[in-house]
Amino acid sequence: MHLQASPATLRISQGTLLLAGAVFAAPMLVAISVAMRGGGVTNFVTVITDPNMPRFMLNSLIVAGGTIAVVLTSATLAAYAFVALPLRWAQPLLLLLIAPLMIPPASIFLPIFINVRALGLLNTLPAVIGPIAALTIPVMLLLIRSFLMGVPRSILDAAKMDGSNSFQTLRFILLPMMKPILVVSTVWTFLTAWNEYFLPLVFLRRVESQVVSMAPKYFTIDERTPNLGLQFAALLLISVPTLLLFLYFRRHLIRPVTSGAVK
Amino acid sequence: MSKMIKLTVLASVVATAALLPTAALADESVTGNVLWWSWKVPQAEGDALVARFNEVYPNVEVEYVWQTPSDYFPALKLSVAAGDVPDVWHNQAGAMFAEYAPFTEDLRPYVEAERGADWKDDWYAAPLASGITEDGKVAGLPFVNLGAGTLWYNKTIFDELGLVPPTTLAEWKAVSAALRDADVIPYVQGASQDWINLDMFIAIANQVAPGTFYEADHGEIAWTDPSLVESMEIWKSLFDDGIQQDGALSMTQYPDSHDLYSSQQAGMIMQGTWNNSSMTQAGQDAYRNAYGTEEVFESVPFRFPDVDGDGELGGMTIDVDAFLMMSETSENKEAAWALISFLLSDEIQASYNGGKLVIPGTSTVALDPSLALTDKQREALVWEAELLAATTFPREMRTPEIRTALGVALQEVASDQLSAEDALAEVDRVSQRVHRR
Repeated sequence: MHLQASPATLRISQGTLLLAGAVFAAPMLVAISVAMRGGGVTNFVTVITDPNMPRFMLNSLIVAGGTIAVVLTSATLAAYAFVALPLRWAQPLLLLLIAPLMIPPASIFLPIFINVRALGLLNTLPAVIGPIAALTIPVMLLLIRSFLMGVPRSILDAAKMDGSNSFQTLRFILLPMMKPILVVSTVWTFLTAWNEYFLPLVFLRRVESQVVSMAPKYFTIDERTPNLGLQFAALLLISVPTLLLFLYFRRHLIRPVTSGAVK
Repeated sequence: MSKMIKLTVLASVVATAALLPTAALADESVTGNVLWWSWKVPQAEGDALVARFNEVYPNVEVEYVWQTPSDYFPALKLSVAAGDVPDVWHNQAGAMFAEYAPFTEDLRPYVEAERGADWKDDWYAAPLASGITEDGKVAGLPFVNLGAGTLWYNKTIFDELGLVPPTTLAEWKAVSAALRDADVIPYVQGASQDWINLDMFIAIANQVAPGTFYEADHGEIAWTDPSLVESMEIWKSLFDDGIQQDGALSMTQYPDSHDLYSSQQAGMIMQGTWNNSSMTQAGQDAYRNAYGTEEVFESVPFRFPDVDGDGELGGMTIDVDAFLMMSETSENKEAAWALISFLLSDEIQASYNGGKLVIPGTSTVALDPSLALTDKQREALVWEAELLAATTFPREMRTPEIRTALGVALQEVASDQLSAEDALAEVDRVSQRVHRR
């Protein structure tokens, strides 16, 4: 369906969109321009062929994959329990679970550090996966719970009358319906884990255990002077997986925004 | 020791180290694991140093962790707060030293046992003193020093325009005007950052009335002393008279100003000996690759101009760029000391710090001027060494509160928010609180 609009309205809309596009594109163009400084395209080759990059990429994929697995499993099960199961103390429990949202992450780094160290996890990827997942679960729990609350109760009741137990209802009735929200949660969690800087900085000290967000810092002229060409080339390259993920899931990412707008 | 003798010692040490069979030096009796943290030695260079260390101490396993300067201290702070202190770590002078000194092992018995009762003779006096706490504990030994208070110029541009480095404030203004006329930024300073503004202010104050700055810092005189007010007014004139670049107060020294200078858009910059590596072939190659130019320009330090009209050029301040510290709670102190001792050895000081033309931690090793690429640079290394040997003025201030207050005052004066007297009166109020005057 297309709305009718006057030529003037269309021109204003297109102009506004172009302006907004330019504002969003400008930093990217600056980044590309800086990334070409020095060696030009060779900068990208230098970064890709750096001997540490494959290990950084693999570690980041493990961290992102592990975090997504933990977050989606925990948040989905918890959200389902809050929406569909007759829980006692549901409200206090929910408040307890989302309480971390109200705590500034910087204030809990020290206790997290002490625990990670006590568990002997320094320089291991679980040292990063655990805290990132713990800080992401509350957001995803709220998001998925909100989605599930929009599912008509009658669907759950019908499943129950047909003999589905709780797990079967989740597995065969709800999960297929939850695809859009699970995609959103996956992309969000991936972004959080992929871009995380501080936790890998303090927990992953050995070069072989580090992740892509640490990669740019290795491209320096000396200890005070960054090699901006190589650093920006690295920054652009490590954002490619995020871009690909977004492009692959873009249909699902846009749909939840519009779903339910029209009955 | 004369410079020639030092150079001969340096050459002998390097040559001997290269020729000695490794096996003959190996000490297998020292064992243990050592965690070493630094922002000062990039990862690849640190790994190479560890590899060399393991030729001498094959049974010590060193885990080397490098962070960028901006990451290093937040990560170190968190680790130390959690009780996870590295066995060996690098630390800065000044406030950072005071923060971490309580967690360190007293290195005096180790260094005395190794170098004898006159061990202090092996270090520059002022930097060594800044690593010793009030109760006499040697909390840190200088790994690398730095000299500050000098300016650098792009000799290539100056030669093209028929200019020479300024020796007075009037010449500095004239040279700046000539550079502006040629569409070159005359002088760059990241004046949004306190540390470089303080380097400049100390350079001015040490000319106007040598030593007064430190008397004020120690609370012995007021910050409103006339000589300091005059220094502040000279600082202000740099902004009013077109010497400082437009927008200096919104720029950082690294990377903004350094970037403008290195890409040949600016004629002069304030730097210290930490920038000496740019005078080596390796330094030149790194910059050429980074800035994508085949064009080589000659960057040369010059003495701070005579800004108070007494006919004397500026001197230098000296301080520790990076201490080596050992954790008081290390479980492998013998191995940790072996690493510290190795890093402070003449061999490593000459090859690592000397190779970059930065000031070694120990005074037993001198720089080799022949590593610089041009005559002017080699000359500069000689007068730098003379000024550093002569100076007793440290670069770092004693108390962080006064340092912060002076940093704010310098910016407020430069941006016309306060007069020199009023800004220094504010600093003095902080000083009175700190020193309970």
